[in-house]
Amino acid sequence: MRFPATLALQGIEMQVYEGEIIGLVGENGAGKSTLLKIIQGVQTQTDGTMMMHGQPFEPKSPKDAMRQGVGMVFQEQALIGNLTVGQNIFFGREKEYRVGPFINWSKMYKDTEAVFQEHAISGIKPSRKVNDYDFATRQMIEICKVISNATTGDPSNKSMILLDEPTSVLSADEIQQLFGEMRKLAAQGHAVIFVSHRLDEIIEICDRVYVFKDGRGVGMLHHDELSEDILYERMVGKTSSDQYYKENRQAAPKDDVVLEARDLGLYGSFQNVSFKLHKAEVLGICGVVGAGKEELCDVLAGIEGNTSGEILIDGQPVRFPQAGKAVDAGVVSIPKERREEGQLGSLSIVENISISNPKAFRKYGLISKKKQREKTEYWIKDMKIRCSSMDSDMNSLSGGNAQKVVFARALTADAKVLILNHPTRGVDVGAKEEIYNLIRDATERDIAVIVLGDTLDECIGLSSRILTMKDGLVTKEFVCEVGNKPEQVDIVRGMM
Amino acid sequence: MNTTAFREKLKSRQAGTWIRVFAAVVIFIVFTLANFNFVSSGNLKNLLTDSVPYLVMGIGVTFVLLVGSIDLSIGAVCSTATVIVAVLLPTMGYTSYLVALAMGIVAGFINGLLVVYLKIPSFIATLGSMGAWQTVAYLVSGSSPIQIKKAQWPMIDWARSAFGIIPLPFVLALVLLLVFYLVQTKTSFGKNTFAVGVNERAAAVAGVNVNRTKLLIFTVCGACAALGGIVLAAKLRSGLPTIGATMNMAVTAAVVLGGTALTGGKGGLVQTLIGCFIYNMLLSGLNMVGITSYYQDIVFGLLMIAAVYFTVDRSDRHSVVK
Amino acid sequence: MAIKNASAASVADQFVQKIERQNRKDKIIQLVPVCVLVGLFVIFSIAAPGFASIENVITMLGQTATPLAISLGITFVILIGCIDLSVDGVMSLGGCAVSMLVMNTMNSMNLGVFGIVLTIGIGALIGFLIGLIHVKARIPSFMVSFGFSGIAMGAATAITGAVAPNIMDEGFRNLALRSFLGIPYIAWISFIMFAVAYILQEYTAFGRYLFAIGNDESIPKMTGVNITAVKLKAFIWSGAMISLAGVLGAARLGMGTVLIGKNNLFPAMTAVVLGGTALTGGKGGVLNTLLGVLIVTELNNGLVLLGVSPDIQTGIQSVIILAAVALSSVRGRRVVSK
Repeated sequence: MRFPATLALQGIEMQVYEGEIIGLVGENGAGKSTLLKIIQGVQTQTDGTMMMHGQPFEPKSPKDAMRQGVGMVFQEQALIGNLTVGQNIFFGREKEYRVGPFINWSKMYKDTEAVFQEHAISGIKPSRKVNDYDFATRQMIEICKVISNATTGDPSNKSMILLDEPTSVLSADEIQQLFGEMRKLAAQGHAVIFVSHRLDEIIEICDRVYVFKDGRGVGMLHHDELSEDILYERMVGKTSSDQYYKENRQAAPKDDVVLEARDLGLYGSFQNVSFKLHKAEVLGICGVVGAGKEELCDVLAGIEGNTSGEILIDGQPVRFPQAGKAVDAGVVSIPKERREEGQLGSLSIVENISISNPKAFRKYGLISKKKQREKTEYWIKDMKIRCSSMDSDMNSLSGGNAQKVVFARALTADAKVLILNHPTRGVDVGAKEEIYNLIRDATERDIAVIVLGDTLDECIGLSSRILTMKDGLVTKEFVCEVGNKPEQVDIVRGMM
Repeated sequence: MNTTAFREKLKSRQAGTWIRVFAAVVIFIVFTLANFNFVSSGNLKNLLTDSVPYLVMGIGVTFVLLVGSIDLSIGAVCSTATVIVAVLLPTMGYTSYLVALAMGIVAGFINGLLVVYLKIPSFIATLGSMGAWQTVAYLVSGSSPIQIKKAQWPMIDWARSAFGIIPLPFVLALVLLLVFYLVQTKTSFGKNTFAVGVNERAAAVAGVNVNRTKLLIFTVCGACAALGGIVLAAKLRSGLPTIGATMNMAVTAAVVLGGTALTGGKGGLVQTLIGCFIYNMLLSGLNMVGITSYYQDIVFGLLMIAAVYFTVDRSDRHSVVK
Repeated sequence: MAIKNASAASVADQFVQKIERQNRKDKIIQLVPVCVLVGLFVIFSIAAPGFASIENVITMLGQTATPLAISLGITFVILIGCIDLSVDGVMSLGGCAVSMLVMNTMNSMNLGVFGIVLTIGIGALIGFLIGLIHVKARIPSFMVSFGFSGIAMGAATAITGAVAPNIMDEGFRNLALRSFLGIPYIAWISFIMFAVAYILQEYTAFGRYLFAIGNDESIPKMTGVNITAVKLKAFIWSGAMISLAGVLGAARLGMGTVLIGKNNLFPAMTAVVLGGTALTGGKGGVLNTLLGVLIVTELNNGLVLLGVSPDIQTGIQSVIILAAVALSSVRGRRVVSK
């Protein structure tokens, strides 16, 4: 499966037998989600084939996949709150219960009861609205819905259920309940694919585990061979050449603390985060999706408001009721989703670069076009931004060049702290190196940088210090000096 | 300018504007051929006079559309302004103009508060305030037009004075347009307006004070609506509590016809100027050719839907506006 | 720098609690319309003599005829997250059209019941066009429907011309003049339509899909539901209902004028919002709308008994809509309200 400029998945070989629980592990971007999407029918592979029960399997849509026995349970529940439990479980299959133009709900509810009995679930009334039940119960309902949808085919053809990080918001008891469900399914002959970043869970429940790294399968382990250490080792890769991340330009951070987080928390996302950020320092934050690092960056940049703790800039506590205040204070963020949050697509390069700091371009109270263009000209030369003219729309630029424009905007705004959220995402290899140079340029100007790296490798290569986060808390801190970089394995231990 | 840049310019919004200018010229020629009276000095003067409320109110509407919102209350604010002028002219003289303007500013500011701080979608918020201000207009006027007596005519005759065929109000409108054009292109407020309209979230991340921008915009729109009402009251020599109903859709239609997109981030005052001309020429021309106002409603309704169709941004981002 | 070994479940707990809190708030909001209905009744009974009398209650029920029909129509559209502002125009067109299709003073048509059916069909057609343009051309529904309000109003004016046709069909006029149990037939028609709407909403797949689409379009899309078809049906229903309201209005008035539709959008929107159907879609329904219509009728009736001018009523309703929407709207920094 190829994405522009990068291979998301390559040469995966995998077999799943009836009655098995298979685990998929790997760090972010290793390819697990892509594989799930292909199996589910959301994406189509560019190479290779899939077989189901010995027949070729090429689902064109999730519905198609479901008809052939593949169901996926998402982290965000796909339930319709104002409909009843039964209506949700049989959503899309109302035809079977039609009586003229009407639907026979009581028959549907009886069948729902049957589904619950099959899985020994009690206490859920099919005729009650889904919203009446608490989160964990709704998770159960969601699972039943997927299973029910996936197993309506030929009973001799078993189904496959995909679970993508289902445990992140469950309590220990509820996790055990879920495991019970999974074992029941396996006992009935169905297959379960279980993705989780919590290795202890993987070790507990899975019969076999496939490890992913950089879009490739790097090993399969049987239950007896499993241990956290072995999994960590397989998941991480060799460290790239230090030239790539311009480590020779990595400077030692100054002593001045420019930003400090004290017991910072955002209800429901992270809590008790404390650290000091120094001038010219590059602080990397590593963690799986949902660990809280993205929300932390949003809070630091003023995009979200913190619910506890405080932020200090140059020793003074500050509040950022909106992102504008953060930019004024010198904290500028370069967001991950450039199209949605980073660029003003249909505006020109000039306008994009100038928007964060109008003061810099004012002459007699009005904005001077000449000054704007001079500044833009400077950045185009300095950063080697490739564009047909400075008046072209941002939309017309390639990923790497668009990212450089966003960078230029941040620097034009006299940033003291740059928060880089996956800065090389969607950027081709050549432009990546240029961006690494830009980051070093920034530190040479005493700008402090917080970076969420695209890969673990990138994070280690760029940073002078690394924090790992897991499930909303900071777990470990690593010193990351040139010549004394931590091993990827150690970092991963802090993340999972 | 190399060829790639030239090709880009062709596809750009400037192209749309030139097409509309071309269309305006064609419409002018067609109507002149249909009825030579179209180019009589009397008719041209009427055309320019009639376009003044559209230009003035169009300024406010343009800014609101540029951020991707809408203001359905401009008609009601306009009505209330005419009524205020008619009622207060005898006792307050020129100060009545200021009172009407103040009312517009307050109305717009309230709209802004509703949208920004109470997070009510703009079309509901302004639908609500439209009802409220319509009620105010009815209450103050007693539901029927108020004639401005002869004694006060000297204070409103500026609306009828002209330099040849160019009426004074038109000149004033152009001046206002020019001032706001400067605001649009050369102030951070203007830049921020476009940024918020193109991508509100990205603008916020880039440091734009979205709340303040929107608040200002709705306030300006209310003020412009009131100014439009003042001009109408002076021109028609009465306070009209019902005039708002037609002006509402008409001004929005004229702005959209000019090329400012409903989805925001595209357009501007130059486009509005052209749109107002096209709209008023059509209005005047259709009348001259004998198409009555009943059918005009239908024509304009269709025209507006077509105009929106051609300017709306189809990308998925904007299907949030349902 | 502190490294905490606190239980990771606490952040997950917080996340879950945030969702539970929103659900609890939603449940409380469900109770508000009933409280308002009862509360207003009590207030008016005390403040306005005669309000709580049997005759007045029956009168009020009769007054729900047209607002109920309109509100039932737009409820389905609002459930999917769109809006239908074409009320004034389509209702006027409905009233004018039917007054020219049944026996009247302007032409020699005498289509009786078929005239009513035809008129509803016209309304359904307009609804279909609105839905189609909205879905295919991706123009916001408020814009398309607002535009069609003008078009329909213009058409209504055009077909009736300068003199309004008087309706001579006795059977037709009796719909409004004759009553059953004190309540005019037009109101009974609306009550029947309420029952129809309720059955559609609760006992057909279409009704369920309305909620699903309003809640999150991607879910039904993934299950293969034909979203466009459901949306079009919702708009068709709305157009038909609004047109029906026009028919009822014409029966009451006895002639076809464009005034039939004027100022009907507000009470209908107020009723739907007050009843608890969220403008964002996916929540509420026709039962809520019935409550809302009762509240609005109660309000109008009470205010009239108190001597308040009808012009002010629009103003009061506007304020109420704003308050209701403000209180129920989603509070979150990430909500982009355009």
